[in-house]
Amino acid sequence: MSRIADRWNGIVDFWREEEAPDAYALARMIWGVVVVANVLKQIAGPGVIRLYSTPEYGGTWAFDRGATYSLLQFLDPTPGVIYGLVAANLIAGLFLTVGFLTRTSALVLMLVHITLVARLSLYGFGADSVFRVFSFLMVLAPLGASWSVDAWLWGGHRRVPLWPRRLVQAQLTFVYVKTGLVKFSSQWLVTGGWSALYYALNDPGVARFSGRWAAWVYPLTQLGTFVAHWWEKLFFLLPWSMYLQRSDVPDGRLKRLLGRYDLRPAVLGVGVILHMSLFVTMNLGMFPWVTMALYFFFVRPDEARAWLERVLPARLRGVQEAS
Amino acid sequence: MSADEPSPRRLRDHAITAWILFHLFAVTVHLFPVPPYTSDMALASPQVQSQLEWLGGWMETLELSEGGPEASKEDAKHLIRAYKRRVQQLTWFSRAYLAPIGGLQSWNMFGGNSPLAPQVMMVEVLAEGEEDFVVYQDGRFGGTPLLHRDRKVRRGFKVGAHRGNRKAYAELLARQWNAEHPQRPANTVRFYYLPLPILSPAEVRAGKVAKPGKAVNKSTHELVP
Repeated sequence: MSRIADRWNGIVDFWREEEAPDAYALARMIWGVVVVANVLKQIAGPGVIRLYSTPEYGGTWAFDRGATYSLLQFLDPTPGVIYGLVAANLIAGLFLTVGFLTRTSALVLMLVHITLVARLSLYGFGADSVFRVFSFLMVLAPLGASWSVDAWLWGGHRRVPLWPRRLVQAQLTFVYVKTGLVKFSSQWLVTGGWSALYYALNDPGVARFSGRWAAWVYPLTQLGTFVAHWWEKLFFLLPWSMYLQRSDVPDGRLKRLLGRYDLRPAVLGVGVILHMSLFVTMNLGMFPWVTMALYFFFVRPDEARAWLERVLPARLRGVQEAS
Repeated sequence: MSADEPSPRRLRDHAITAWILFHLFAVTVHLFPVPPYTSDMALASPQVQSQLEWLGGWMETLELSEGGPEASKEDAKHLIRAYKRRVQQLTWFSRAYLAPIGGLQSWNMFGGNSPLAPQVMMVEVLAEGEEDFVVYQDGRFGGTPLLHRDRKVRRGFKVGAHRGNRKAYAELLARQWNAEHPQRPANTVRFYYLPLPILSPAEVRAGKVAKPGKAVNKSTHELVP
């Protein structure tokens, strides 16, 4: 019984660890900028009425008051309501970027994302799902504990819980690994000649321009297919290696193999290359940007603080140093 | 990790840990792989058909199916649909928990099993008082520039969408047409798909150009003024 209790206490100790708040601050700023960019892109592109309102007001899809969790259960999607929701999205994104009323802004963003993404219906894209799924974790995270208007006005926090950042890392790992696991057709394997990327580049449904050029660099597209597939499938090695680097993890073969090096630059660097390649060749909306924004949740507090102190005056950190 | 002396564990720490573990479990269960679409239209693509043949072959080998390749393929379809239904029954708690927090997402859409002959939507409009349809939007490369969200809608229609959605989208396109051609209001909007076979790299390098296949999946929507 005591072994079970010890084991459980070990798990509790892992999840109640704390850290300096700077990593959350950097991730918050990047996330806020991406939220704002997403709203501006919708306004400048198809227009928010077309996306979210009903046909009688210039929207596309009829309103189905189904079993969705949405503020539109209580409001009709008239242009006034839609503009109000989009304005709330924009303002909350700006507030989040500067860290003003941070937790409230994150909550507003979560409610608005759940509401608006449900209205997208067939317009919905990968980036919309990423915004919606991660906005819940943003509400839980102490994003405004430093380098924020909140911290400046009301004082920041010297230590904050680490578990929300770990949950974001875990959720992103789930996204990538699941994505890798569903790539099971032969195009992703040697049996199909690692041809998936070549076919995707020639699919007018996703590619920005004709992919005939890819025929001249076919081996490169095969390499891209192989790397993308296995990088996604093996993404779990990144958080695992971060865990193995802890001093309280006993020494062993696995720790020597995976815990010896900081895998973040390599793994996230490959991710940036893959996402930027997708951005150049395929029209996937905000997807590359919102996903890469989440990489900042892998930055350590000391690294984030060093980066932020390079561009912002140190007094804006808003946290009293320990005496 | 903390340089400070660890504080004693509180009830709150235990509660948060229990919730985190439940959250991770719910997300994991929700990610259990199921095919996103199992309608006849979605299962009709040549790639899926070859996978169904493969599965049907195994079912015959294991004596789970009999009656020849076609019957085995049908059995394979039934098996896939039953599997999807059962997984959804067993994971109801995960959906009940994740839906209110906006966490429902299978991430299947990034699977990226690209079609060998992608179908692109062509949109034609018959204007009031005119006799012939004219091409309004051409989904091929070099055709009409389309937003990624419009491309997504058109991909969605290929694997089956509610007829009401097709009509709603046709009406949207008619409104766009009317705004661009105020003197020629739309009477009817017609969609169809052109299969565009993707040539092998060797064929492309040899200078070959793919010819579109026969139009499929037609859908005509007369607009009520």
